[in-house]
Amino acid sequence: MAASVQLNHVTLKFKKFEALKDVSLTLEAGKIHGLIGRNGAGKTSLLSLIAAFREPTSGEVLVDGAPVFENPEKMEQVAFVYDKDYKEETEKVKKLISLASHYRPHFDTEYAKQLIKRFKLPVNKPVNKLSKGMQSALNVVIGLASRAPVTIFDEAYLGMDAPSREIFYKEILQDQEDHPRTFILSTHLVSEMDYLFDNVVIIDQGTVLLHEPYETIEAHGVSVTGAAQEVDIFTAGMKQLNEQQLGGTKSVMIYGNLGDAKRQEARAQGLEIGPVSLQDLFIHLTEEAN
Amino acid sequence: MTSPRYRRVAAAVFSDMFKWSLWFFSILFVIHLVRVFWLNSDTNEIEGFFVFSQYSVNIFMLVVGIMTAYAFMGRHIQQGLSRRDSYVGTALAAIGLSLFVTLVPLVINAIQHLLAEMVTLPVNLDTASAFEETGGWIAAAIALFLNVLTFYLAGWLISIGYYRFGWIAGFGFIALSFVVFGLNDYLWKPTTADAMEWLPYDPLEANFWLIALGSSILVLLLFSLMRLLTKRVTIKM
Repeated sequence: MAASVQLNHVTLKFKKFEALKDVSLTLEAGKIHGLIGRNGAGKTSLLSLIAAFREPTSGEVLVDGAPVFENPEKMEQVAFVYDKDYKEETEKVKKLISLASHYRPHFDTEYAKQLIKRFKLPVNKPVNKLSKGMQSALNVVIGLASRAPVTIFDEAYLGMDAPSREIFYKEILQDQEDHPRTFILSTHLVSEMDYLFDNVVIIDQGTVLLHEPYETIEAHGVSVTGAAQEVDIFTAGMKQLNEQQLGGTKSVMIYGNLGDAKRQEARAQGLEIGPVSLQDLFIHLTEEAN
Repeated sequence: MTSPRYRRVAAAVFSDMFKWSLWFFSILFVIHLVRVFWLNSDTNEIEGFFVFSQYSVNIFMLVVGIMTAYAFMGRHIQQGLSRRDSYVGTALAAIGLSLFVTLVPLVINAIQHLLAEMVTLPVNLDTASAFEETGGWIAAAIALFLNVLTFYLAGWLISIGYYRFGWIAGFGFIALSFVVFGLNDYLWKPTTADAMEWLPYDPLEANFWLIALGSSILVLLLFSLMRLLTKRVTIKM
């Protein structure tokens, strides 16, 4: 089960500060959407509107075509997992999980048990006594096992070590295959998570800079790799995003598409043309916007 | 998963509050026993559990009320429930808890009463005079029920004030809760309600049912105010 999300001309103001500026965006049902942006770009503000934690100042936020705010059927479809402050949470892990199963109509208890094992979560420990990484793992277990048609993970991996993050990513992909839903993953760890995304949304200073399927991202740039000197000559005058050099070999990220003629020319010179990384594109686009 | 959402809220919230109240009554009962068997020298008649617990039960309900916005509301919205379902469920749980904390002192008091009649206790327990004054145990129970519910609502009011408007405006809500306590005392304890001296009538003369009606109206007003204050509240993250 999956649901679509739509924002129509959404503006969110905090007193004089505009966190979101006339954002219009449609997130297709059943896909994994990556939401990337720098600190303070408006990611969490946007997600909190989808989860009906607050109302937009103007515009509308729809889930499967209906406004989500105070709409019981639509709110029930959204699970919002974020870096929650658990300092005061003295309940045990199993209590929070059983609460989620009490309230979430599609909650899968068996799946939750499997995940608890995979993350080695101590179910009898009070939540505020868990390490940061374990608290994040608890959030992830609740978010995944709730099987809400719209599941939002807002930097849900904070404090998790690399192996745990790997389990998290694998579980998203596996569960998406078995029980497709709409995932929205907001992240800083672009290079680590980009392979998960079907679609990418980049936001900066409250506006959407880019919203595209992941495959077409590469149309925005290429990497040119080869002998340093030849790469320099070939890329002279082009907009460079990033460069790396190892011995005599150099790799340069170029912004913009290369024409077929240029590609052939590169091949003739023995240069390798590859896709640009989302990370480099993200850094470039947000720098340019600033 | 067929039960309406607000009922799921009511069940879960009541279950938590119920556990707190069991802790509370256990501790209170131990204190009562100490009073009855050890701290009994100053008087030859010791009040029964009903009278003994009234004040503490009110304070307990105030504290539970103060915890409400922070302990439950955000959790509900995060679990995909609407503010309306969270409100209705919490209100039902609070009414259920008020009934429970009214019944427990009554039942313990009745047991004490029976015990005192059947066996000879080392102290004189006065388990009856409270009811004579108020016109029977039903009236006393109704009075306690309305009082504890009012105290709960005053606590809930303070907590939503802090939750929604921050700590400075929160003090305003504490002030508002004093108005609620003043009105409540004016209705139920006219001799101590000095703050309300300017109000015209003397409730001592008034009929019990009239007081209960006034108290019910206060409760309804507070419930309506809570709905208004939670209807579109922004959830803290």
